[in-house]
Formats: sequence, structure tokens, C-alpha cells
Amino acid sequence: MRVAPAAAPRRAIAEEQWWDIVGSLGPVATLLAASVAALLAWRTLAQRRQADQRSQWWARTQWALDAAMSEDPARREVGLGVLELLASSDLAGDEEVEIISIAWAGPLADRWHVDDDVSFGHNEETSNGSEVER
Amino acid sequence: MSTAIHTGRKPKHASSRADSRQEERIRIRAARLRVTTDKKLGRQTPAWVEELAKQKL
Repeated sequence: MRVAPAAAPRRAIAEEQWWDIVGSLGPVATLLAASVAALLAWRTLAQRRQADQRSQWWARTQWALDAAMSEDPARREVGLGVLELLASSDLAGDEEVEIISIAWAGPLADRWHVDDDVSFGHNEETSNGSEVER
Repeated sequence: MSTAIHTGRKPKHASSRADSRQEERIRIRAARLRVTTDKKLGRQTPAWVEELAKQKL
């Protein structure tokens, strides 16, 4: 049986089509690689920005804690006000909020001693009627 | 002719009243801070602290 003379050119056309497909994917692959690179760069930038914001948040918190512990009443008031703002920030995690909690203990401790029914080591009544163990 | 000496000092009772007001403002700020931190940590705030936090500065 003889091979049809049209088979060889058909294979050549098929190979040419394969290269055409790969060649046409080149710009898409370049675009995909550029997109991935841009995404990674954006994530790195976002992480760095958040780290910078946290660093600045902590610096402000240190200043505010220092002010809240000051002997000067006006400075203490400003420090407590700034701490309230900083505590409500999304940058403040549980650990940071626990640290900030130190600041209110001093001024409110005076009140605990003044009130006969509320003092350290005793249960405190909350607004919804339950008790808070200190 | 008498010479009046102005020391610029406030009367003692006025000064102590101002100090007391300042201390009260500090307590209110502290109460507000406690409400914020308790809320953030999911803790319950004592009723008297919430009442204090609601007071005007």
C-alpha cells in the first residue's frame, strides 16, 4: 500500500500549528508572570506598611503610657485620652490592650478604696447584673 | 503709701477645687479607657465604671 502524498505536508502543518499555539501563549505567560510579580510586590509593600504602622502605634503607646503615669495631672489626662484612642485601633492586639489596661488601674484604684462596697479582691457588679471577679 | 504685692497665686480653696476637678477628669478618662479595653478583650465592665465613663468631662 502506498502512502498518500498529502500526509507529509499535513504533519508539517500540524507542527506549525503547535508552534503557533505556543507562540500565541507567550504574551499571556508574560502577563501572568507580571501579574504574579505585581501581586507579590503589593503584598510585601502592604506587610511593610502594616509593620511601619504598628511600629508607630507602639511608639505613640509608649509615649501615652509614660504620660498616663506622669505626676502632672494635665499630662495624665492627655495620656489616658490618647490611650483610649490607641486601644480602639485595629493595630492593637489582645496583648497590647492588656498592656494598655495597666494605665486605668491607678486612677480607678482610688475610687475602689473610696467606695465602701467596692474594693480590691471583691466582686464587682456589672451593668447587666452579673459579677466580675477581680 | 502701701505697696500691693501681686504673687499671681490663686486662693487656696480655688486651687484645691481645680485639683479635685482635674482628678475627677482623670478618673473619667480612666473609666472610658477601661470600657474600651474591656470591650476589646471581651470582658464585662463593672456598672460603676460605665456610669463614671458616661459623665461629662
